[in-house]
Amino acid sequence: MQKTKITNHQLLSLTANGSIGGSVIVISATVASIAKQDAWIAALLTPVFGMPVIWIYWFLGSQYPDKTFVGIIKEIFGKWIGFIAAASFVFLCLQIAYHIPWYIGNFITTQAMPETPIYAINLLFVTALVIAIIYGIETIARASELFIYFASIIFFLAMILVSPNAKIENLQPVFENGIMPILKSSVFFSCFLTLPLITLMMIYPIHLSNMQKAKKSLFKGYLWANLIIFITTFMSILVLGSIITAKAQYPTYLLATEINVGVVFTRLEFLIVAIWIVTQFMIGILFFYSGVTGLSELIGLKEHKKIVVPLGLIILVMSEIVFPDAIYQANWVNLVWPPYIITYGLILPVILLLTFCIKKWIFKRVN
Amino acid sequence: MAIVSILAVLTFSAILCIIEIPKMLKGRLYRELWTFSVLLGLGTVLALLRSLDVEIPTPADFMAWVYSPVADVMKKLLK
Repeated sequence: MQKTKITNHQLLSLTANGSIGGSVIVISATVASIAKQDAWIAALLTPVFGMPVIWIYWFLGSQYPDKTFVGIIKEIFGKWIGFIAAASFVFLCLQIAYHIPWYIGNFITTQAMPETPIYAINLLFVTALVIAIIYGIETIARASELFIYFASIIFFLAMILVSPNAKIENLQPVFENGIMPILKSSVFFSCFLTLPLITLMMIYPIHLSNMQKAKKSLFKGYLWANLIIFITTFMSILVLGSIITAKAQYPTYLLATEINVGVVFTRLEFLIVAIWIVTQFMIGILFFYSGVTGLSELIGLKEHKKIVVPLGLIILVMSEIVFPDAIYQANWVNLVWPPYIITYGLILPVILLLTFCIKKWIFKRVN
Repeated sequence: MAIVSILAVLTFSAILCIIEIPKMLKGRLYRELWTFSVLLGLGTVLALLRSLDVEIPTPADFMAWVYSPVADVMKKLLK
């Protein structure tokens, strides 16, 4: 592998971007449909479940500072089981790498440019992904540093502008259905916010320059993303109400259409779209990069950049056909995506951790 | 319209081969060459099928099948 290194602040911004990207514009719909007006409490609870998961990622990475996630799996599970587990993880990464352009294409063709063919938009997005991977991890990390400032500033600007429309009645009654719907919906929050960060494990142990502060930057980035998602959900419910939020496909976009300050600040919804596209781009890069580097490590290639363009072609074609329509996508995301990502983002690291501890204990007893 | 996209895909693959393959042969990266050829072949075939409007099965269906035993649990969670 090459010896490019990233700093701790870049790790922080990658974590935050990856966490925001998958969720900022869509998540409040699913959550509001379960927890109704209490969805914002679920957003507050998510870090409680998320922090231990991030701690597991950090601990596994800190034990093997010169390995990627695929390397860690192979080291702990041995050759054959490790190969199968790592191969299915790589398959997950490559699969999600073409789900993400689908979202961009679907959003742009339904909300902004209905007459443009969807593959024209996907082509632009996938080309950007391929170029980013060819430039390498250092460029990606620096870009993510810029993106997180850009996204945070624009996001808070948009939220301040929309706040005059807030109605406090939309929050009441608090705890109408008790605690159960809140806990249920925080499962969905975790599936979109916390668990996709497993792709960071392909970057974090091996490319990080300073391992001591890694824990702090992972946690800080994760909490920052949580704050942004909390504000998104909170404002969506305050302004739109839980019923409209639950029915919309892109609730945060709908929220930004409500911006109407004086006569001057209107039609600012594409502020939110800009944030969403850059952060979605980052999570797309994370998945695609993990897929490409994981695949090349599995097969034993010296240069992973050679296979980026052919994979980009596959991703471009698949991004158009992966979901036939938005209803299929909504079903898939609600019924299949949570167990799928729980398998690789939660169960696999926990099993790795347990196996690691048992192995260590046995070696101690033998010596 | 189909003929245009078929030609575009074929031209793209041909140019990519012309640029990349001599480099890999020079660097003796045979493993890379194999992977590259397989992936590019797969991509080209998929793109050609797509231009001919052949229906390609999506892996999303496959994953839905794999996780169908827990679908009921997820439906309960969604209520």
